[in-house]
Amino acid sequence: MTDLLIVFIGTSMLYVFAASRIEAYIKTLSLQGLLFFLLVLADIDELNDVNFFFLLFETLVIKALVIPYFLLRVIRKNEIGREVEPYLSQFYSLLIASMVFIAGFGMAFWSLEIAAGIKPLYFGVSISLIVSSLLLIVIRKRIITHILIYMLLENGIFLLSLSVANEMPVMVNVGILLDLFVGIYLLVIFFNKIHAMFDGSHIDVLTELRD
Amino acid sequence: MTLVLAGLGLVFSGGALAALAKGNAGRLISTITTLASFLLLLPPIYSVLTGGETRQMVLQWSEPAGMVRFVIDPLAAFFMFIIALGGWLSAFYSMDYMRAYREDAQGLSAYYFFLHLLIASMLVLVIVQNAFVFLVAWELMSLASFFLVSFENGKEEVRKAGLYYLVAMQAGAAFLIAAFAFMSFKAGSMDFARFSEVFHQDAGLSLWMFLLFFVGFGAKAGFFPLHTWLPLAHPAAPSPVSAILSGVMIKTGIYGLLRILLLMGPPEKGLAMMVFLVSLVSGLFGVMNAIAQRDIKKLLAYSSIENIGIIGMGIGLGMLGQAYGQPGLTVLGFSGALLHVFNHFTFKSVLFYGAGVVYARVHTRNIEDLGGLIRFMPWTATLFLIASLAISGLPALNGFVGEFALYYGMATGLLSASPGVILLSLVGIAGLAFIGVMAVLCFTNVFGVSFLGVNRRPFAHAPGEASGWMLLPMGLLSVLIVLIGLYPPITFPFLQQVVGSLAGEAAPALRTELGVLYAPVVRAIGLFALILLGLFLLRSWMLRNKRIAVFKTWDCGYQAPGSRFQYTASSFAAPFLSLTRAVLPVTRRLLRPQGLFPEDASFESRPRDLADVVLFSPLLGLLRKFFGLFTWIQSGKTQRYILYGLVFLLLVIIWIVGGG
Amino acid sequence: MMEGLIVFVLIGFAPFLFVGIINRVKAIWAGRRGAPLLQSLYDFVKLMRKGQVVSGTTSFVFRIGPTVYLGGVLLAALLTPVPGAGAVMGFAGDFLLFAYVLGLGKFFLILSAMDTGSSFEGMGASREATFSTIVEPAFFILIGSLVLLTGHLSFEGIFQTLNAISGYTVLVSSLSVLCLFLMLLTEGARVPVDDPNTHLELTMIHEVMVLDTSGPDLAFIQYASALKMVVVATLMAHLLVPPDLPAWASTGLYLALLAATAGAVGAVESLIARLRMSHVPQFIFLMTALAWTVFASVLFFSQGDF
Repeated sequence: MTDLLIVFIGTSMLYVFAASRIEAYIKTLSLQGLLFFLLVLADIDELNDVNFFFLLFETLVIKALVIPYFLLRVIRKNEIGREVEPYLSQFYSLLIASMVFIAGFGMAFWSLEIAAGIKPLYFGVSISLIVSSLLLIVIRKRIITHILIYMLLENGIFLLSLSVANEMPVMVNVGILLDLFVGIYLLVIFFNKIHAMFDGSHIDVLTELRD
Repeated sequence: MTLVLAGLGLVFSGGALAALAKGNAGRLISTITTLASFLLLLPPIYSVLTGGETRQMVLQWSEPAGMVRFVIDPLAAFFMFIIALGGWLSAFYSMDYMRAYREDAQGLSAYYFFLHLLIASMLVLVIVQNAFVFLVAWELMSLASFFLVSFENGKEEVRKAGLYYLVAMQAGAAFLIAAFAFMSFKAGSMDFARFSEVFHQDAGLSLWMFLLFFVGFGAKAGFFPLHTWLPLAHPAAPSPVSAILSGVMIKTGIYGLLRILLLMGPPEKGLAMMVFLVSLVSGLFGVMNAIAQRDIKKLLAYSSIENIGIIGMGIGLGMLGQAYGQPGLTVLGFSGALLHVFNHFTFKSVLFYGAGVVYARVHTRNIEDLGGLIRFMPWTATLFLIASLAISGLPALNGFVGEFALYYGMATGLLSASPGVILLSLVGIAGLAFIGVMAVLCFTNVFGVSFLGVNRRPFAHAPGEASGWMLLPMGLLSVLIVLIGLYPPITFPFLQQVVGSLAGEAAPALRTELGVLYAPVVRAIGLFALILLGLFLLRSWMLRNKRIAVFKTWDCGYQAPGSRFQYTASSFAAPFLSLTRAVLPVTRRLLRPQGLFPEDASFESRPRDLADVVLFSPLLGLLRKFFGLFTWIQSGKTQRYILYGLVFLLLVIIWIVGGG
Repeated sequence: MMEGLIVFVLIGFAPFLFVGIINRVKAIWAGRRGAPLLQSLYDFVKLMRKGQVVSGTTSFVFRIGPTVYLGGVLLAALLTPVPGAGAVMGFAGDFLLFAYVLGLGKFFLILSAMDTGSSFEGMGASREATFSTIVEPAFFILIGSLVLLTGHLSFEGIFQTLNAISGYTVLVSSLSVLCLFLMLLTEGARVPVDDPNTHLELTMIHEVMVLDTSGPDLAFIQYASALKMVVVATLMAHLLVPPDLPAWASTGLYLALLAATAGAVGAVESLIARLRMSHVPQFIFLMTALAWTVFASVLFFSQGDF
């Protein structure tokens, strides 16, 4: 059951590679949040109580509802539509993403031999999520897209922290803290209405920021 | 313990509430919650300080923190008192002081939030006995203070000061993290009690660890040469923040040192000497630089460095007593240090509050532009005078009380059998005397130039007196200053347990020892008060029927005197500075008048910090050059950097999977 | 009781006589007859009876300054032991209070000078403050050395034990007397540090700080300065008076030494010219050097003997 959920999460990543509308990213974020919620629910016996409640709350409310809602509102208000022409064409990027996904399964098998305590599929898919998010950042051009991809990356890290939850329970806390950090960070940006990000500006503008 | 938790919770929630509240409510909430938490904390503090019992609470947390113990022992209670009181007074003072910034609602919410966070983190810091939580609280304290220092971040100098402060704090914290990490590795746990066992087993390790801790805590306290952030951060911060920074926060560095000393037990002779000498140098350096400053808050910042030096001398003296087995020295040294910790909090806060009043009313920190303020703000001036007298260590006020203990301790050291102690004691006495008389020069300078005489530049509008909100904290602290000065034994019940715990069981009972010592001093000061009273009465009686005419100041027949003819602060300090040229670099630029009708002529002098000139500027310059070699990596494109990261990540994965 | 009376009488008259002797010595040296010995007492009474002219720029600090200055010197005098009579108040650590209460007086004197808003007085205040930074540490080093030598922590204890120790105390005593003499010259504003007769630029230290002071305040300050000189001279005399003499002999010897000191000051003032202002710190440094020498000799000898 959990394996299925994880594979769904991995596939949602592929969807992101294919999509070009910004709202698609947000919907993926929300979907991943929901899937995480179900995942945590399934693991009910593994984590201790405090962490458990916190995770449930966090995945369902923050990841799946609150953040996507805010993002959607801001996107719609600013009428941001689509991603511009990326560096790498859709076809090739989707190809590379699939290869990364499969390599993730390879990692899962490898970790099965190496370490006992971690959950192999969690681990493998989370690595593939992280690598593909980083790849996506390198490919896409708009700043707003980068922020959304960063949230996806951070989901991948969250999954990683879940995978080692037995060995190091503190990693789960660290994962939650990271979520909180990014959430507050984003909310602050959006509350302060940093318009420069929302008017089709390119990442190229940011090259001014150097010594 | 529940009271303590309630107090802590109040401070923290008060901050959150004040941040969210609109308009005036925020200020009120802040003041009320800090006062309430101070009052809540008083009963446990009192009973622990006087009774000597300890209160404890244990929390179990996940690794790596493990078992977290919160313990209120006399040392913690002593510092908690200062933190809670200082926090409330600064919040109270902010009520009126921050009114000038009332349009900046967002900034004010942040201000109150971080102020409360600072107070709460400091309170947690002194009661926790777990390295992990200690470091978290330490970092929270540094961050909260960073945001407070950067409050007026519209100004470039404030931004630069804030960044310098942040970097300096992290550099100091790095040493602390290293020390704590090593200790928890050796001890196998994060708990301080385990550390204590390790310290007692391995003397060599204790030595190195103490040095690391000394650098880390010393950077926070402001010992020379780790002090360079102090003269930048304190002027940049708003005055209530400067007061809490100088009066309370740097004392957490002292707390850290004392806690380590408690854990380690009697130190080595070399360590004691090192602490003593570094503190002496800090004291001398601080006050010397203070004399050269013209920015009133920078002057006060350097003065804080001086007083930390004095406190450190007390600690060093106590350590010497323990190392050489002279319990009298230990009691006097630690008593003097702790007395000075509290006393410095009182008078430095008053001085910073006073400087804040001046800034709020006249909008300048440059004392060369001031003068004659005593006519406009007589209460502020009087309280500033009392604090100046106290900080110079003059009798009948509390500064003298602490320094007397130190002097007497060093005099006792002169009677010891070991030549090392004798030499150190005399150098200490000479040094402390030198520090004291330089402090007199410094504070007669700043008080005389700012408040007395006539204003050197015309004021844009007549500055009014400080409001009651700003005067109350100053007044309250001044009452303490005078009270402790006139009757020092009032503090002995509170010092008894703390000094006892630091000095060990062999030390004689503080109350009797100090009581015997101070009794004649109290009598002499009482006699002094009587003499003064008698002289005043005599003078008034002689003048009772006489004519008292008011005329202009004698000007030697010159017909057009001006306020600019008065002595300036730089002039006042000039003879002294010419003597100290070797250790106090002053850059001077002189444009001489040329020709018969000169037009351009100017003179500019700027004091430089020796540590900066000799140590940090060259070091930072080297670092900059080194990193300049790598600028080619910085292309400006975020994606290139992510690509670097991605490539690295893939390489690592391949290496791990391949290597197995 | 007896001590109190003696000290009281001394405090009452000695300062005036001291200044009187100095002026008489200078006058005779210059070939004049000079003013009566008690002239400064007559001046004091005259000033006390006068009214005041106060500068408009001053505040309450100016009004209380001279009183606090005198109060400080009076307390210091009460802490100083008189040979043959002891001190009115003596206790362990009294030398600390002694130095610091004099410092308190000095603080207020400097502030009174700054209060007038006059550049003359500011100049005097600045120099006064600077010179004390050299004098105070030297004094503490000296007293510290005496503590080390005698093993006692109060003035009385030090002076009562002083001559009872072995031969090298002569060296220590003479160096200390010289050191204290320099301190007397500095604190009393005598040539070569300062010229008490003028307040011109070259000699602008003490005299200039009281330009705007008048009436009882001026009387207080003049009396306090003279009393300070007597106090330092008392310390000097104590170093030279052997402790095992009967009381009347000690006191008699002490009074003779006081007069001799005053004479010496007069002689110095007649023989030496006022030093250039930039050379004055170097002169006062002599005091520091002497103090360190005293300490070094005490440390060396005490370690050798024991």
